[in-house]
Parts: sequence; C-alpha cells; structure tokens
Amino acid sequence: MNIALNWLTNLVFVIFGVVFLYAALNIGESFSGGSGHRVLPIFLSTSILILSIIVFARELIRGSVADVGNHPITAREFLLHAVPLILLMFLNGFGQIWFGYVASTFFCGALVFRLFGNNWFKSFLHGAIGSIVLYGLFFRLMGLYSQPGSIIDLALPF
Amino acid sequence: MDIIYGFITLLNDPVAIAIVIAAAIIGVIVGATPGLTSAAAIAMLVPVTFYMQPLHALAALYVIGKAGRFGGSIAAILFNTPGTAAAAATTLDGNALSRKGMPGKAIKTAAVASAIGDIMGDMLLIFGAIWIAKLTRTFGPPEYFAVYIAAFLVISSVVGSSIIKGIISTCAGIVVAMIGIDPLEGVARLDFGQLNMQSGLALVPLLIGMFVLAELAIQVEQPARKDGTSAIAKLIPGGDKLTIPEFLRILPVALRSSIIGSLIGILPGLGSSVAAFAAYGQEKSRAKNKKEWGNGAIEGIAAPESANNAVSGPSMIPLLALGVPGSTIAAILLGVFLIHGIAVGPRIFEASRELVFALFASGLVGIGVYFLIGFYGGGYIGRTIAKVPPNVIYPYIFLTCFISAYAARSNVFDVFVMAVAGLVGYLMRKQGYSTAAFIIAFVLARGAETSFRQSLILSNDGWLIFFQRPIALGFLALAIAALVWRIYGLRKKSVKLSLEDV
Repeated sequence: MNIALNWLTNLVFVIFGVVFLYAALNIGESFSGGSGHRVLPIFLSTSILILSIIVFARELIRGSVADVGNHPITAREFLLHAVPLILLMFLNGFGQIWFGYVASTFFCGALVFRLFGNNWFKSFLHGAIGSIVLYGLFFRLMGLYSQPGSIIDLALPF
Repeated sequence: MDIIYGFITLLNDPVAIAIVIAAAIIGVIVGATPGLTSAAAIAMLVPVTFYMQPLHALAALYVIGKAGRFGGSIAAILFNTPGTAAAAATTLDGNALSRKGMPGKAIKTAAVASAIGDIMGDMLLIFGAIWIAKLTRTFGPPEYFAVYIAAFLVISSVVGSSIIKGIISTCAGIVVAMIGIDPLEGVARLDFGQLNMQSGLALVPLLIGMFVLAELAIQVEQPARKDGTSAIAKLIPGGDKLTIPEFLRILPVALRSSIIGSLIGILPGLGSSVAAFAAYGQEKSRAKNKKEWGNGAIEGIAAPESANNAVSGPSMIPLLALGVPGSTIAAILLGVFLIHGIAVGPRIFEASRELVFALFASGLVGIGVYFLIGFYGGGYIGRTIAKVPPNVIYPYIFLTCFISAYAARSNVFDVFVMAVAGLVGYLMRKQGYSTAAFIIAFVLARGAETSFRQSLILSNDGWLIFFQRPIALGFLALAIAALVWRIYGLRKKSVKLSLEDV
C-alpha cells in the first residue's frame, strides 16, 4: 500500500496544460476582431504542457526531487489522509447547499476531528462547538448571508 | 513630517490602536504555532476586514504579518520547529541555547533583533517609497509590463528548488487568473461554460486552499504530537535574562543584518527566508567566535531574526510605488487595497497620503507591541501553545477555512475552488513546486496582461517597444540577470555535490 506517487504532481500539471490549451484554442473571437485575448492563454498553456512533460519524463527516469522538509507522496498517506480531508471540504460545501450551514458543519466538523485522531465523543462535541460558535460569529454578528438548505434547512433558533 | 501626521491620525483613532494591539498579539501567537503562518492567518481574516474601515483593515493585516515573522522564532527556539520558513535559520542557535537552559535569553534576543530589523526596514519604507513613487510616475505600459516580467522571472527562478518547476507554477498562476471575462475585449475565456467561472476565480479561496488547507493536509499525515512542554529544557539560573553586554554584542550584528534584509525585501519574490539565511551566513563568516555558531551563539539568533523582520517594510515598496507586490503578504494586502477601492501605484501618495502614512505609523506601533509581548511574554506564549494539542487546533482551522472562503463572495462555489486549490497545493508542496509563485503570479497576471496588450496597441503590434524604452529594457535585463545568476548558482551547487560524492 506504500506505493510512491511522486509522479502525480507532474501528471496533474500535464493534464492542466492539456485542458487549458484546449480551452484556450476554443476562446471565441472578440467583437473588435482582434486576437490579443487568445495569445497569452495559448502561449502559457503550451509552455506549461511542454515544461511539465519535460519534468514528468525527467523525474520518471531520474527519480523525483521532493520538497525540502517534506517526504515524497505515498499512496497510503495520500489516500488515507489528504484525500479524505479534501473530500470532507467538498462534502461540507454540498452539505451547506442541502442542509444549511449548521448541520453540515457539525457533521463534517466531527469527521475532521476524527480524522485528526480524536475519539468520537470529542469529535462530535467539538463539531457542535465549532458550528455554533462560527455560525454566531459570522452569520449573526457579521451578518453573512446564510444560504438555506435546499432539502432541509436546519437553522439555529437564534 | 508626513509620518508625524500619520501618528496623529492613528492616535486620534482609538479603535485603530486597539486593532493594532490585537493584531500584534494574534500575529505572535499564529507565528509561534507550528503549521500556521502569518500569510495563512491573514488569508483567513481577509473576509472579516470587508466590514472594517480601510485603515483598520490594512493595519490589522500588516501588523499580523510583522508580528508573525517574530512569532516564528518562538516555536523555532522552544520546539526546534520553525513556526515560519524564515525562522528555520533561528532554530540553529535558538534551539541550541534553549536546550542549554536559556530559552528566555534566546527569545529576548530574538525580540530585540526583530524589533531592530523591523524598524530599520520601516525607515527605508517610510523615506524610500515616496522617492521611488516619484520616479515611477513616468512609467507607461511598456515599463509596467517589464516590471511584471521581471517580477515573474525573479519569483519563478528564486523560490523553490527547481527553476522549471518555478516557471510552471508561475505560468499556472497567470493562466488561472485569466479565467473569466477578458478585461479589454469583453470575451469570456477559459470558463468551461460555467457561469460561476465567468466572473473569474477569487483570490481568497485560492490563498486559503493553497496555504492553509494544503498545510492541514500535510499535518494530518503527522502522528498526533503529545504535549510538547516536556521537550522544553529546564531553566538554569540567569537563563532568562539578556544582559547589557550581551545586548551590545548583538546590536552591530542586528544592524548589519537589517541592511541585508531591507535590500532583499525590496526585490519581489525573495522573501524573509532568503534574507534570514543570507544574513546568518554573512555574519558567521565574519564572526570571531565561529565555533559557538550552531551551538547557542546569541549572534546566531540576532542575525536571521533581524534580517527576516527587516524584509517586512521594504517588501511594501514595490507594492505602493508600482502596484507590484513583493511578497505573499503584500499580494494579499494588494487585494485588500482593491477591495476598499484604493488604487495602488505611484499616485497612492497623492490620493491616499494620510492613509498610507497612518499605515506606516501603525506598523511602527505594532513593532513596539510585539517587542513587549515577545520580550516579557514570549516564553509563556510558547508553553501555552505547547499545551494545546494540534489535533484540536487544526480541525478548528479547517472549519474556519470553510467560512472564510465562503464569506469572500457568499458563494459555495468558492469553497469548491478552495478544496481543489488545497489538493493542488498539497501536491505542489510535496514535489518542489512553489505555491507562493503561483499566488503572486495570480495577483499580478491581470495587470501584466493589460499593460502588455496596451503596449502592443501603442506600438501597432510592434514587439520592439519593450526594447526601445530604456527603463523597460533595464528591468528586462535585471530579470534575465537574476535568472542567469540562479542557474549558475544551481549548477555550482550540483557540481559541488557531485564532487563530495567522489
């Protein structure tokens, strides 16, 4: 399970270059008939694509250079820690759309606390504290707009 | 004289003073917490500043940045874990002195040196920025474009371990900034047919994702740290004092290092960590007590701390005089200036003179506050932070990230942007790509493209315009020289490493 995924970052940039080059080539014509708005996106996307292919190939052959202070990416760390954390942020976003801020933050917050190694009781306790305090601070005190949940809106009574 | 009026403006606003004091406290605590940086704290607090007056908002974030640079030394000294990248040089002698039973002396040395460096840097800012702004009034689009290109090349070649990866990071930041409606032609670009992307991506979600969420993703891999107080050495008698002879020993070191830090701070992209290590190396080479360096020499703490903090003020010079941020924190401040409707560039000293000098004054007050906190309370702060388990702090930071990204435009789409930026930022940091280069390029991209296309319109599509204007040519030559110097430095290092292998 501890497979090195050092090539993943370089692959991400290769895909980035391909996707944005495709999008840049499909930029529409301007109203004035000029093409200036397409030049830089095409040039930069092409540069990213070429350079990232060079880096990808070089590191596949010679091995990767990890950032100083960090060890390389392993499948275990990536799939068991980093990916769940990012997915929880997506889940929190969708949760806000479906159930409102408080419910989604409580639930996702508890899962994040659990991911960082706390027991379930502590996780749910801190999830509740975090959702209530941040709701009070940002939505009530600062007047931030609270999007009601589209499925159920579980708002606080205050 | 203007700085005196700046102090008068500040002192007439008790709320601003309270904000400066609170910001200094927050900055020291954030900087002292391993895993948090002042740039991350500032990124999360930007949405809060939407509701504040311009001076309050800018002063808060500016002072957090200054105090955070000092705060990083507390974690470096007490836990051998630099709270900021720039404090890495401080761990060498700071932690060694702490382990000898003199953590208080180390923290007091860092506080004194940081304050000296910061004040020297701010003097250059206060007296230099307005002079440079006068010079830049003659700049037209070709000159501005040359400045942007110089900034891109310096940032991409100096930060990180690989020039190619730096260039990729910079280009990616520029491309992402081009998502949305083209500023000159009004055509939608790179939006993939998504309505949410037609107004472009906001800076705050990208910042929080790349700096904060990516850091959390790295921290979640670490096993939960137990209470760190046992790692702090027992205090020996007199270990908490900085004597006057010791102060006189570090004073010339701090003054020389602050000059190095100030000069490095003016150049976009180099930053505090370059200044800290450059000053450490320079002072060690001329030190008479070389054997003590690395083993708890107080000069070894004073040099990097002074240089590191001296960067803070001068890094604002390219921002205020040219509208080109010289550091990540300056890039965030540029966003805040724009949010509050203040155009940065040479005219800022005419249009918003009072605000600018009040900001400088708040920086000087902030230095005084963090010095007092650090000198008298630094050890206490470190011990308190050690008692709070990181597996409780980090999830709360996660929850705050969500609300900060959402608050930028009250749009859940920004949360998804933050999540993607977090994943990409994590991958970038693991493999030597620079997230700082990405963010600075993102901030500068619109201005760079606009000045580029305006230049071509002026010259009827003649590319030679950039080489016919002497100032533009000068900046381009500077950029290429920086790139060549960096390539030479890397080649020299790789030859040295291969000789060592032999």
